[in-house]
Amino acid sequence: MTSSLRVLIADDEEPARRHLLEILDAEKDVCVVAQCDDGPSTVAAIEANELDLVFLDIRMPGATGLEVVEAVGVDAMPAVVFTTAYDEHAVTAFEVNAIDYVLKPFDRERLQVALARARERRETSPEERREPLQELLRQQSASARIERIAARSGDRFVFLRTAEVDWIEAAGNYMRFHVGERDYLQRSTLAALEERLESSGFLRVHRSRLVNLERVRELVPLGGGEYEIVLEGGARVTSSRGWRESLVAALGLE
Amino acid sequence: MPRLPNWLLVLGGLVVLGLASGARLYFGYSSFGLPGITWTDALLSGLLDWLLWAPLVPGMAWAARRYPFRRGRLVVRALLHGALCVVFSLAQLVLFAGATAWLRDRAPEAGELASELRSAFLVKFHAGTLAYWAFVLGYGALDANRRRHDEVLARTTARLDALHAQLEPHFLFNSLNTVAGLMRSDPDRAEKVLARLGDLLRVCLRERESHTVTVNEELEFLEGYVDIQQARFGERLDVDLVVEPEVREARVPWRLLQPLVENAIQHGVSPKLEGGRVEVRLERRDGALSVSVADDGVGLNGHRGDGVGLANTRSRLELLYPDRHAMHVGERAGGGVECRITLPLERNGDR
Repeated sequence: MTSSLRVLIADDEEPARRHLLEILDAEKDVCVVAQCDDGPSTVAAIEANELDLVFLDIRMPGATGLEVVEAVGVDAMPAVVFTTAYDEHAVTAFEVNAIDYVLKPFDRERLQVALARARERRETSPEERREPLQELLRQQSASARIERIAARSGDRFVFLRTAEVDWIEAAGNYMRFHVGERDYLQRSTLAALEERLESSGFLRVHRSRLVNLERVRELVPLGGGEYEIVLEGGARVTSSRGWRESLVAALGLE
Repeated sequence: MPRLPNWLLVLGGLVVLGLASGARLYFGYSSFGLPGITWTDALLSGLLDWLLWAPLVPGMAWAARRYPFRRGRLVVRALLHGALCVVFSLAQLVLFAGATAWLRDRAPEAGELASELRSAFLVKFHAGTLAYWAFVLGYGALDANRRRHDEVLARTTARLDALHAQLEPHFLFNSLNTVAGLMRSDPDRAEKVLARLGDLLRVCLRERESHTVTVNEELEFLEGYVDIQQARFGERLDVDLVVEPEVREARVPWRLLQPLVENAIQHGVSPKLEGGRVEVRLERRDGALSVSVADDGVGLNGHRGDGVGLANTRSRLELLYPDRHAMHVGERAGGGVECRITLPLERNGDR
């Protein structure tokens, strides 16, 4: 079963895309399905196409390579080979997590090594492929406070300033971000978000809800350990008893 | 292997010398037919002699560092060290005599001390002076060598730092990648990018007599840089150079402009989906040179205040024109960022 590899090239520089295309064109089992030159169009192209592999530039206008992964959602992400000219931190993180990358400029030989690995990985389970990416995103947020986060609104995808997000709720496979009157979706899990956004001031207050502590305006006790939390954006969110203690502690009420 | 601390090296050296001199003492006694001395006594005596230099070593090291032998100063320094040699050797003798007398008799009398000192002086003063000279010359040579090494290292680091800070590695590698991309389909353009890249590297690696160049020279460098960036970004990047003829011969710090343009491209234009424009303007204003680099990019966004490139520029200007320059970075009314620098208007020969 050696069906061809369906590949997407994402890089904002035309000569860089041309270089990749020239090398990939010579590979019999590779089919370049699309080329993109910025973050948002890359997200759209990944979702519109059945892909096996994405060559993803780290620095692109509109979104970094990592933000593209975040916006698409690790679960929906095809195999990735990151491309970069020089990003010491990113490369260290790739090494640590055994994530594939190539350094620019590269030659045919080195790209073939990356392709061979991608073909091998196709045989592994999706979980095995996703784990490193998930870990990469997690580490990124552990090392620094996240200031913006990629989410979607209809078929657009947008960057939310985490400071402006009131609260977040789980909705099936998606997470819903509430910003004032508006809401946005991102494909991820509450547990993953809880961990990533902890250093940005978000707190779990319910089985399926996170609240931005900096946006809390009022806290109304409802009895039985539950509270109604009134947020800057006007939303009213109910916390549940199980998370009472951490809420009260985080707001310095005890 | 981790480096041994200096004090441990000195102490080790003294112990070795002490043991050697103890052994010499033992064999000396027997070969001259003197009444025997035990190995223990001989070694202890040797160790005592040499280890009593230890408290004096910091002072001698200081003297060797402070008054090195240098061409033109040789005679004066030799006389000085000659005097210090007597002082340090005598000090060691006093320590030795005192310790010996004390070991023999816990409460030695003044007369006993004096005779101990006298015999120590006769037996080993010459050896002490030799020890002083050997130490000061050896240490001095090591120290001079280390200093030279440090200086070379500092100079190299400074040059590399300048290169690193102002030509971003990301830019260098991306430019090489651009060449890789153009090589087959557009060899002429690939060749041009390589040639420009060569120009830039040459200018960066050149050792400089002066910290300033004429605006014309600076523009040449900038144009090479812009050519490469345009090959990378194509139509997404538009760079405009507006230079009043009057200021073309004025002097500016070398590589003043390129980091500012790099900053505008990297943080202003390149994150913007549709790309953008950078305008560089040099003109005479109120008798001073006004330099402005403006973009129509994504703006400061609460972030960029002082990128590495700009912080570097700021401190260079501070060094070159203390109190005679101004630098301001702010958002423009129509969006984007402008960096404006005012420098004294100096032409060739003014300085």
